[in-house]
Amino acid sequence: MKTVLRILYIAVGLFLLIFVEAFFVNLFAFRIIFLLFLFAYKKLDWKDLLSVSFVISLIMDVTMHYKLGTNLLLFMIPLGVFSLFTLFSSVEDGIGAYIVRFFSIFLYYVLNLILPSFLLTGTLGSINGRSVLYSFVASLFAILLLFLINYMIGGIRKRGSQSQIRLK
Amino acid sequence: MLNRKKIAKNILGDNILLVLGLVIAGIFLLLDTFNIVKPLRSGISFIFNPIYVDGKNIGSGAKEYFTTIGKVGDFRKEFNELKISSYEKDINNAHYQVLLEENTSLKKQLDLGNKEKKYLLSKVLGIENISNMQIDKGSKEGVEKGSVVSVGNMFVGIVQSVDLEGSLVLLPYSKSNSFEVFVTDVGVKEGKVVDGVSILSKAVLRGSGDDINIENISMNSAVKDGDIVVTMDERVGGYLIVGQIANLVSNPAATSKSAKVAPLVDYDDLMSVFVEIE
Repeated sequence: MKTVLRILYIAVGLFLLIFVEAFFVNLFAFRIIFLLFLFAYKKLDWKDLLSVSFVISLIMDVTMHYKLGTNLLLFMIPLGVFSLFTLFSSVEDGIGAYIVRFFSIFLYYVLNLILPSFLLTGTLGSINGRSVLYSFVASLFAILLLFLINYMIGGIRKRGSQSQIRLK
Repeated sequence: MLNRKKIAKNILGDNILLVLGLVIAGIFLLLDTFNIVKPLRSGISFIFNPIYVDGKNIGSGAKEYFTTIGKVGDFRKEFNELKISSYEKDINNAHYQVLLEENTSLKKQLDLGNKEKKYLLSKVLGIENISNMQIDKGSKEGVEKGSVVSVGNMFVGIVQSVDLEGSLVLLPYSKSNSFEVFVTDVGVKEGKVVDGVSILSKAVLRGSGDDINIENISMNSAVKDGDIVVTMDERVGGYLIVGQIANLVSNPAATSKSAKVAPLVDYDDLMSVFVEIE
């Protein structure tokens, strides 16, 4: 029963996520899925995250008429850069974590401009100063959103821990 | 050596998601290149395309809405420009209306029987108390005191005073006006007598400020409401139509009949008139 419910939740979540992604991409050219992926990275079990991101990326590839695997590659390349930074410094907390995440998101947006076209036709997509600037602004907004989500979750956790009995 | 191996294993362990993700992406890119995963594409498309299209359409609609709000300034500017353009068109239209009226007046004037006289086209500047009319032609153009003002065969008034650039015309309503006229029952169409003239009675036309009165109509005459009143005065110097008989009063005790005269044209509507010049 638990498994059935879990599958049901995931299915509904997938539909909702695809809808929200399509809505925001067309409204502000703002991509929410990678933000969620980055947020869930190292918070979820890697197996779960990989399966969910694999399914979502496949759906996105089909609905956006990209080659299958494009979105997964778009997720993994910025994640690779993010992981590279983890070798040199801690990216768990502090302003450095947000700067690294910001560059990952920015890279994701820039790759979105060039990679799908490259994989489909062999030519790099059109990229200009305006689109890069827009990517920069969208990344900035995304990182602010990520910060807010983390802040809110942190607040909830704190409130939860207040009810615990502490022994001094 | 053992330590290095351990570090390498740790790095791989931390990034297993990344490595596997890249491998899977590569495999699927390859498979899709050879069209092996087409059934999978079709299945996903069948299930998820409707929700994606819905999201896309709603997003596009909302974007359009926000874009419209963002462009309110531009729309306002455009609206103001259109307003100005509309005003300009109204002005042009009014100008054309004036030209049309002038054209109609000229046509009437050209239809006159007596074309030997000279007429000066003049614009009406204003009418005061339906007794006086100001026109834009004065002594500079040859207008003199006593000049007859008409539109076609319709009598408008007599010039009372003349300035260099304008004149004052006394309309038949003016208390100062008094003419000799005759009454006829011939038909009048568009201000022109269309049949032979038969004089029913001679009479005197006087303005009373609010009305035009006609007096001294012969008791024996067959004058009736609707008959035409035509000027027959040396000051006018020709037969011009003033209006139609209205409210004929016939008192058996009196020696003559009297009536009101309804002008054929509404003087307030006149924009162009013709001044007879010597």
